[in-house]
Formats: sequence, C-alpha cells, structure tokens
Amino acid sequence: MTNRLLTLHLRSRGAFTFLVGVGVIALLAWAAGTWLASRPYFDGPAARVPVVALAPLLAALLLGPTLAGADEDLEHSTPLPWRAWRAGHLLVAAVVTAVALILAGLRAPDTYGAHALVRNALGCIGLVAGGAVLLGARLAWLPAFVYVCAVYAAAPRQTSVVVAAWAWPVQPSTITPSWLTAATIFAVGAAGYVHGGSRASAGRRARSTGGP
Amino acid sequence: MTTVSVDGLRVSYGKRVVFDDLDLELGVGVHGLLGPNGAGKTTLMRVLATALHPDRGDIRLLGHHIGDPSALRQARRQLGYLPQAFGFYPRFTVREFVEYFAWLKEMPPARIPLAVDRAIERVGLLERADDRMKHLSGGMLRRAGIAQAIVNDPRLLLLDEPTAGLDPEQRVQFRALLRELGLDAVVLVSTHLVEDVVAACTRVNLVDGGRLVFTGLPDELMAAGGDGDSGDSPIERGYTAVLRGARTVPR
Repeated sequence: MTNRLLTLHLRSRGAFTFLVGVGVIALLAWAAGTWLASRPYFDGPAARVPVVALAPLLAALLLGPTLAGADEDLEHSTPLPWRAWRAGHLLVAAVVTAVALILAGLRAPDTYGAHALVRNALGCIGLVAGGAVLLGARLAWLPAFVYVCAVYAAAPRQTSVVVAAWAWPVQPSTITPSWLTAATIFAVGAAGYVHGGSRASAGRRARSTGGP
Repeated sequence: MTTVSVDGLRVSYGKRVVFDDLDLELGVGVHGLLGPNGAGKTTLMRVLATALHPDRGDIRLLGHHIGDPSALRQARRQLGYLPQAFGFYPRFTVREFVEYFAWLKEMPPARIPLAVDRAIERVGLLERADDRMKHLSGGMLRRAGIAQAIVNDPRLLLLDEPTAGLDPEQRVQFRALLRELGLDAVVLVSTHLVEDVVAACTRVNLVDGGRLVFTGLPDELMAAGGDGDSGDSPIERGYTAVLRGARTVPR
C-alpha cells in the first residue's frame, strides 16, 4: 500500500467531507451538551439525552456514503484485497467518530456523556454498515435513522434488561445490556459489510462478489 | 489458443434463470457479443469480470481457475473491464481516475504514471486529462472508462457497450484501437451496433434467451442471412436469421 493509493481511495469515498462533518457534529454536540447541562430548569448532565442520541446518529449517517465507491462492479473486478480495506475503512471511521464524540462529552462522562456517546456511535455505525449491506451505501442511513428516531420518540427511561436492550440509544451508559446490544449491532453490521461490501446499485443486484 | 473457458455456466436472479449450462471458449482476438435486450450479455460480462458469482459453472480466465482466491487475484491483475453503465468519481480528474484503477489493479508503482498517460492518449483524452470527470460529456466519460480498462495492458478486456455515446469519428478511432488491442489479448465487446462487429471483430458470439445461439466469423453470420430476412445490411439480415432460427428450436 502506498500513500498515493490511500489518498485516492479516501478521495473516492469522500472521506474528507466525512471528517469535516464529524468535527462539526462533535463541536455542536459539545456546545449543545454544555448548554443543556447548565440550564437551571433541566436535570444537569442528564439533560444531554438528545445530544447522546442524535450526535452519534448524525456522524454515522455521514459515514454511509463513504462505504462504497462510485462503481462497485468496477472496483470489485480489481485484485485489491477489498475485505481488508473495508475492515480498515470501517474501523478507522469508528475510531475517528468515537474520539471526536469522546472529546465532546468529557464533562461528566458517565452521565449521558462520553461513555454513552461511544456506545451509541458503535451501535449507529453498526446499523449504517448493515444498512449498506442490505440497501446499498446511498440508503445505508435509513435503518439507523428510523430506529434511533423511533426509540427517541418512544422515550423509554426504564432500566429493565429488555428495555435497556432495545432502547440502547437513550439508556444511561452504566446499563450493561445497552452496551451489549450496541456492540452486537456493531459486530454484526461490520462483519456483514467487511464480508460482502455495500449492496450493488439497482440493476446489478444478484450476488456481487464483494471482492476478495 | 483458448484463454477464456466457461463450462456449464448457470446464473439466475432469484427465480429468473439467465444462463443455464452455457459453454463458451474465447481465444486471442476481438470477439463481438451480440444479442437482443435481456439476452444476458451484461450478465455474462459481469461473470467474466468476476464481479458476479455464478450459481455454478467452471470458469477459467487466462489459465486461472477463478474459484481459487489466489488464482482469482492473478486473473484480476490482467483484466480490464468497462461496465455498461459505469459510475464515475465526480471529484477525480480523468488522470486521477485512470491512476486510481492502475493502483487497484496492483500495477508496479514505477510503471503507473507512464501507463496512465498512454491509456488516456490512446482514447484521445490527453487534452482533457486534468479536467474533473463531472465536467465531461457522456462520450468523454465513456472514453475515460475505456482508458481505465486498458491502463494495465490487460490480457482479457471486457467492454460492455463501449461505443454508446461516441460520435462516428470516435467510433472509427475506437475500432482501430480494438483491432490493435486484439492482436495479443482476448477482447470481448458487447454491443448492439452490428457494424462495429463487422469492422473490428475477428469472431462473433450471439446470445439469445440465455443460450449461445451462434459462434463464428462475421462473414459466417452475414452468410446466414438471406434476402427475405429483415435488416438493412448483410450482417443485420444474418443476425435476424440466426435469432429466428434459434427461436424455432425447442429449448
């Protein structure tokens, strides 16, 4: 691998737009979280639930378009070890997103702060990666968007095991089942994406090889 | 010498079977792939480009059995492919686009700059090499796609409707390029333009309804037509005659 190939690959995926977008989201998350936590009529740091739910979702939505090139058939007919590249791409994106969001939530990190932001970033990225496998990169955002918005609208705040498992985006970070669910979603989504890549565009459905 | 061999190919999309038990052999030269819409030309191209897994079948490309991952990678290094409708990278210049695929095809880094310029020059885009792809016309995009396909001097070149969008002068130049490429490589060109086949192809394959219904020389296809067959040229009459004959044979 050379720097030139890496540069061209990142440009082909619009990675720089993603990086700038994640930076802006982290900045907005920090500002919104600080404002919410300092309002006297709210519940201190625990008022940051909307930030914890929405910032990782937005970052993951930005990741979606980077999960495929402009022509999957064309790229998959080349000898590059695509599974390794996809794994690297997703892991680096997850680390970048997590680090940016950690910086946004360092104040009271265990009360809807950095910890919950990381958990939700994992879960949302897993949903987007799985969405890319099932629907293609253009629509990869859809499952994560629908799921997180639905959970946020339902607003379950109980901490039973079952609720914590399905409502992981709005749970406190101290609830273990919420972490298990988010980590499982990430693992399944990442494994599917690394193995098969993004679904080919309409008209080229059948079984794309997904590269080696 | 056979360098592409397909034996017992079956491909289906859900319940729709596109190919069932297709055999095909191709040697060095330019091979035309003709057939009506939906005949399976693009599917066959995708299978040979290793972009689509068949349900079953034995496929050897350039001596490599593509079921073996290591052999598949070897074959892909010597492969050039232009899809029918290819997605382009709007942020890339033509030069960057061709260079990207040179890297993806794992060309030796030292060879890449010269190979990129040569490929772009061969398709007549050198003056637009530093233009972003989003600023190119449809015909220019097609030529950029051809440039990425030939940048690695492929021994197997698969071009799916390469002349779509090219003007008559560009098509004449492209046919000359095809003849040049076919001197030492297997070139398979899927097209609806039968005059391209007469002008540039050494052999013709005709598929219909998932079957290979004709394989032979362009002259043989022309000879298959008679005055009573529809078409404005001998090859069009041969094309319609072969299709009509194939459709009367029970499957």
